[in-house]
Amino acid sequence: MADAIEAINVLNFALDGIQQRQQVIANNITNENTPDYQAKVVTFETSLADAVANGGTAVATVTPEGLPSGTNGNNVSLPAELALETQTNLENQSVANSLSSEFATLSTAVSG
Amino acid sequence: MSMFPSINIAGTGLEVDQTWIDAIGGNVANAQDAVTPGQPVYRDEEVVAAASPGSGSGSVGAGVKVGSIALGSAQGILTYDPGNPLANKAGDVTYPEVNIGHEMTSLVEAQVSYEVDSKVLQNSDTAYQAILAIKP
Repeated sequence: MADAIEAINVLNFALDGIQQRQQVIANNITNENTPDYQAKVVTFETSLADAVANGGTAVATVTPEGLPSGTNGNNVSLPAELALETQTNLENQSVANSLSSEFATLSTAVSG
Repeated sequence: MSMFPSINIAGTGLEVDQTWIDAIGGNVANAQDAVTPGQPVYRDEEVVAAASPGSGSGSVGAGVKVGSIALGSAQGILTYDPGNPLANKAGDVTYPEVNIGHEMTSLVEAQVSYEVDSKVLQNSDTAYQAILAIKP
């Protein structure tokens, strides 16, 4: 049962990270015409993998993407953001499904 | 921030796009507004977007807003048309400085932007639906 709870914690953190990434992508896309806006990215996978392997706390960080800017000082790449959004949506779906499975396992264990 | 922030962020994008399209509509509608000499002429309006900073924990950002409206030339453009009752002593009529080519290009950009932002809204909805469907 401890394994199932551990898995739920990991999936929960992943879901938070994915949520934050979706928010950042939405923010980047809506600012595609904003002068001097710099696109941001969320990273959490490496930190989460490290925390799972070695213990400790995982963190999600928001950093500037750092691509070259266009003439108006904006560096949002619409195709890249849309592709990442689709990918993130699928990851979100997959993590949500895994959470449901873990809850089902736990529920079976509890009710016997 | 609300419970579903991505939807709000997409909404701010749609609002700015709407303002942008409204401004273009105003510019095109007033493009031929000749004025009597000495009267103020219509000034071209250009919407300038600005990023909304996130509140509290967020270095994430809270979407976009209308930062300012940049106004075009207050002088307008003089067109020689001595027969026009609005002409000045030199025979020139004052028209607003609105470039229809530029307005039409901006309109296409604004429409695409609106389309993309509404797509983001739909995708955010799909994502939240997946989370709301989590059950044992």
